Amino acid sequence: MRGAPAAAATVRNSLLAALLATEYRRLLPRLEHVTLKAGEIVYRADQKIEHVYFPEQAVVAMVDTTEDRRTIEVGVIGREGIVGINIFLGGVITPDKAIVQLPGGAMRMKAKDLRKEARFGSPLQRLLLDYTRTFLSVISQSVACSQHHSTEQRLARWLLTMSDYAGAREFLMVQESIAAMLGVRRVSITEAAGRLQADALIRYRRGRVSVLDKPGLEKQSCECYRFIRQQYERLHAELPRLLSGK
Amino acid sequence: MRAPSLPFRQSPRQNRLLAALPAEVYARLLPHLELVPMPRGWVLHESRGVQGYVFFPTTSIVARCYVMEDGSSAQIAVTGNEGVVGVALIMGGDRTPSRALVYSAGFGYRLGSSALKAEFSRGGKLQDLLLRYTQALMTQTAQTAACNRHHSVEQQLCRVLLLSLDRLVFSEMILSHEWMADLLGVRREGVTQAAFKLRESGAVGYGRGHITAFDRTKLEAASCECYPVVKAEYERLLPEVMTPSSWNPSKLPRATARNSPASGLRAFEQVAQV
Repeated sequence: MRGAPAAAATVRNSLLAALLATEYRRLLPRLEHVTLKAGEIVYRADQKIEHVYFPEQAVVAMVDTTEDRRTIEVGVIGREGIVGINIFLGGVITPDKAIVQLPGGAMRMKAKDLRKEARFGSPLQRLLLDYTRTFLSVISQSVACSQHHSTEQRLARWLLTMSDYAGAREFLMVQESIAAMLGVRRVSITEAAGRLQADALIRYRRGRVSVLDKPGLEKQSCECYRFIRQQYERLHAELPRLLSGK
Repeated sequence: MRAPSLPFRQSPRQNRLLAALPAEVYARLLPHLELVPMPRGWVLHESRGVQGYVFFPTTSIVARCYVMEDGSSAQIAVTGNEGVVGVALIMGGDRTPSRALVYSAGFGYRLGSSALKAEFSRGGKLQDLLLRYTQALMTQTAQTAACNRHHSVEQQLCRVLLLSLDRLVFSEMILSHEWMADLLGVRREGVTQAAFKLRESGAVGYGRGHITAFDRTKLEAASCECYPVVKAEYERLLPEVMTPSSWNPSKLPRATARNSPASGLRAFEQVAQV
């Protein structure tokens, strides 16, 4: 991944976009634009964090891995967020792995610069505090979702989320990778995908899955899809108020 | 109001997060810290409910549970005298995503949102500690996600019991199977089986249908890696809270009729009724 100087004209990450033009210009020299590839590992577990990322088109999943290498996704971060919130909270290493789910651009900043810029009382600090709260509730929801909801519901949720991020872009996902994210065996994904396909909600071919009917898929999904989307919508709506410090 | 006379001394410093604050910060908070009895089953705040206070447990232990629309819940984190319940408050939220429920009775101190926010916005040690605490809490939550998904009920039970042990001030905790099932968000039969195995191996002891005694070494042997991972992360992020020289969880005093949190609660209620 090669960095390029950030351009001021288009800000695609909504946290960065919410900052006033003057603040953003101040951060700009500290930001560089990178392109993340699908499947790229942004952080390895228990590794020191060198950079934080503000995704644009890129989507990154935070993944917890057990000793016997079984995995589960605990939070997905796209243009609404930041990868590496640990740095802001005073952490140095990340306990979780971060893997790119959808490729695309992201802005990144050195960890030490973020610590400096998100100093006490700054607009960036207020913004990241609220983001932390939102992300904590998203992680919490993931815990309950993985415990109580069926693979079919969770597959529907996962595909809807990815489809929201992808927008008009076509996206396909390999079953192995979805199974790793949901913490289930691949055969369970095959079965769940088979049922969703029978209802003409998705198409899956040669191990790859794509969405055909979003509203129909939403009916099959658990409440978690809607809940998490609401959380980010609330965050987004509150950003201007947060930044004005009122 | 007359200060309640209790069987054992109560101090906010029994919460290790508060104890780790510099003297001047502690002194500023002290007038706003209010002792509260925290009986088992008390809900500190409801999921998505409005919260006006944060709670610093001293002798009680609180479970944060995530509640779904259909009422089913999952335990996401354990908080005791190492932490604070309601951190969302400092992050601009007056509503919490989770339900906070006392499962080991005792005491704690509550702090109103305005006093908390005033101190937090000074940008000093309290802010620093609370942010690092939030990171530790996030780690515990993420690890719980993996544990609930991939590990057996017995292993999950060991994780919760060990995390609780580290937060006890007396070597006593009363937990029924029903409570454990609720805590873990699993069916009661699953917990009964897991608890039976732990009892057979001597990892836990029973009195009147409740788990009352623990053998830490055996519990650790039966547990998955999630407990050591969470413990290590708390110690790494919060060294001054988790490993102060004065704290030795393996040498807890035995609870007696006089000094146990339960008798403290009874005494508190009597004093309050007078």
